[in-house]
Amino acid sequence: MLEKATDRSYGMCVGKSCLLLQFTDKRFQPVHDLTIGVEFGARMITIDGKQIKLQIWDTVNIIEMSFNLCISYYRGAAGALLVYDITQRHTFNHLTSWLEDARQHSNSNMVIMLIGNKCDLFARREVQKEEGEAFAREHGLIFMETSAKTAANVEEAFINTAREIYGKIQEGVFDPTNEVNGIKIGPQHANPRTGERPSSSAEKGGCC
Amino acid sequence: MTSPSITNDRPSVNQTLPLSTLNEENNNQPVSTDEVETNDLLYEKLVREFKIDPYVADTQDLTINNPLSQDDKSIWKQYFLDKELKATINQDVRRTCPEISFFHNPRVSDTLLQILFAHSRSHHNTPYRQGMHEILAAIVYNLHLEGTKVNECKNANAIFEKIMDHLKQWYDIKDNNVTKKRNSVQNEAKQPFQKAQDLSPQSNEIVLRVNQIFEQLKNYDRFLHCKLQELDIDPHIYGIRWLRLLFGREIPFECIPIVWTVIFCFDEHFKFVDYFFVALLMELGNLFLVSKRDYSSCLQLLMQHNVISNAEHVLRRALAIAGRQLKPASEEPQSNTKRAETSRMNIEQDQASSRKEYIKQQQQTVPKQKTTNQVVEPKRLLTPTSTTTTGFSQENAHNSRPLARNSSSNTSFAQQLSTKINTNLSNSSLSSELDTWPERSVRQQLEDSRTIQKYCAYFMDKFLDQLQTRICELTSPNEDELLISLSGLKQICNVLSGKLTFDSEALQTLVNYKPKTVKQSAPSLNNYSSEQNSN
Repeated sequence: MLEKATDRSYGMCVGKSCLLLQFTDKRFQPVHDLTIGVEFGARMITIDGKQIKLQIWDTVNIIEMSFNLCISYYRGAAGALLVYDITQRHTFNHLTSWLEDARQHSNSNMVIMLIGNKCDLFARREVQKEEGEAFAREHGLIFMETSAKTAANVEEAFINTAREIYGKIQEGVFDPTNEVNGIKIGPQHANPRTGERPSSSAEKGGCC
Repeated sequence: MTSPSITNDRPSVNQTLPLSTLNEENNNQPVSTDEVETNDLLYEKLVREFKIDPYVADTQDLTINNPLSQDDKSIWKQYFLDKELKATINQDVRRTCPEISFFHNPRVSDTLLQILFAHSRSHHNTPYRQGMHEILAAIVYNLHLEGTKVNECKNANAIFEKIMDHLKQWYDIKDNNVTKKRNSVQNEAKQPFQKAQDLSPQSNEIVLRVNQIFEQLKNYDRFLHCKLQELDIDPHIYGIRWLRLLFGREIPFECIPIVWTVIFCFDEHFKFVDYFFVALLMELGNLFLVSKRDYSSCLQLLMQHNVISNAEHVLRRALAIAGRQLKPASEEPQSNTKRAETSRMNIEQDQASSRKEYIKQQQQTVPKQKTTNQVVEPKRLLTPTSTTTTGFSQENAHNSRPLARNSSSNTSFAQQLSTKINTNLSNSSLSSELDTWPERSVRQQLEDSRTIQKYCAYFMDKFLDQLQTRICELTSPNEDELLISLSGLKQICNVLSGKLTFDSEALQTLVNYKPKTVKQSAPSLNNYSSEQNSN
């Protein structure tokens, strides 16, 4: 009971939905409706002249999720954004277990980016940038500090994740003809595009 | 107040969400004063019971009762757990309906917090989960609008408890024990495109319910069902929120009382939720067809907040669906649809193997349809003289015409419904309401015709695509002529599917096309190819 209660207080309000909104709509909404289940967003981006459609899942924190749903959201994700709040240390402390879950349930090649959000609130910082960097290095993740409020690094976070996934496709790690990797090639018109399709899980995952 | 405009004529929560309708054992009794008093006492008792102050605790055994003790009996341990729980709830309460200033009031937040906390503590199996706060918020807000100042907290608590009795199954995340099950499904999990429900036999309650409801859609709009399956949109992705919040985010906030009232009054199993779910999907399905939407835009629509501006229309459709199920005898128009489907199925079997899955579903449908009708709701709902069911009053059943008429606004509908429900709830039958609905069969026929039309357009489109592919492979000297004819058919197809307005002149031009006048008809050809691209 203690453990459950403790878990539940973690991982909320780190700004997952705000990051998504900033990326897809370029706006910041300070008080956001609570995510129930999942939210969904999509945006076209261009990498190396190729149009890529990112489909992004904004999940509820994992504790609110049933086991099967958890699996279902992870399945087919090509990438995930693991978000903590730099002003709340407990969200950072919980990363290890989140990462463990993510790795267990997802495709082993899934690109994971670690995001320290709310970097505009430097005065209330509880987690140093170096700590985030060290955690990312140790676990082989890409790291960035962002602010959904000022939009700092938000574009970069999503686009770098997409670029990394694109790189994996080029290297042949992801087979874009196989949808289980969360990637789908779009119709081959004059302008071929790659639809990146994390089917049900997170391009962006939530912390905890 | 920046709240949505709500007239004073809206149904009152206290009256329209009568506690008796939510009480399984006692669903034909009006709320008695005693019951209200009992609820008051219960709530006060709960509040007292869960108010822990370790500083004034009776037991002075300091080996157990000290702040560092991890002993289960330690009052301090519970105290800290409660504190944490309150912090969790408070975090969500603070984010409740931010656009409505009523919820910015600290007193309101505190009421929400207290009720949710008491609920969580008294229901160990279904403790507080995100979403419950929005259910409670709708109750408290409506009580407030009615001016219920006295005992607001207790009334809200009583109504909340009754509703949660029904909703708790959907908040259950029992299979959430990731750690225990992790190893057993590790291998399956690495096959990412498996359906969630295939991974483990014991699926989550809400996912099962949502999937069941989605299957019902097949009986009302097979085309949409097929389309959503083709897009591979799992119904639980949007359905969980629909159910947990009782459509609170899909419909306008001011329509919540009306929709909930029908849900609570319909029957004690919340069966109306299914009908409303299907009706809502069908409503959104129309939007899918307006512009040919892809996976993301369909999903965005399904998950959009306040996606429905007119809940009345959906409610009407849901009632029609319910009526259809309640009275299988009047299904003649539907059987026409079925015939059309069957013949289409025969044609379809000659088609490419990619459609196999779809055909399989169709073949399963006929027996399934029967099952649905058998399963359908308690017989007493069919008996107009029944006195056991709460719902619309017998008296008002005779006045039910306004419901079927096109009323101009939500408010007038609210008024009608409000009048219906605020009168005698105990001596009523919903079916009588539906049976006396005069335009019902006409409406049904119209809907069926529309459905058939949509099917025709859909398959015509497929055939045309095939024809076009073949024609393009040919090196016929009359190729242009063929393409022009195709273009005409394509236009008819688009008219049928509602994407294009009927234009007899344009079609006549295509009919009149002669190979000699190739140049004149070129615009039509261009039009055709641009259409193809856009598809």
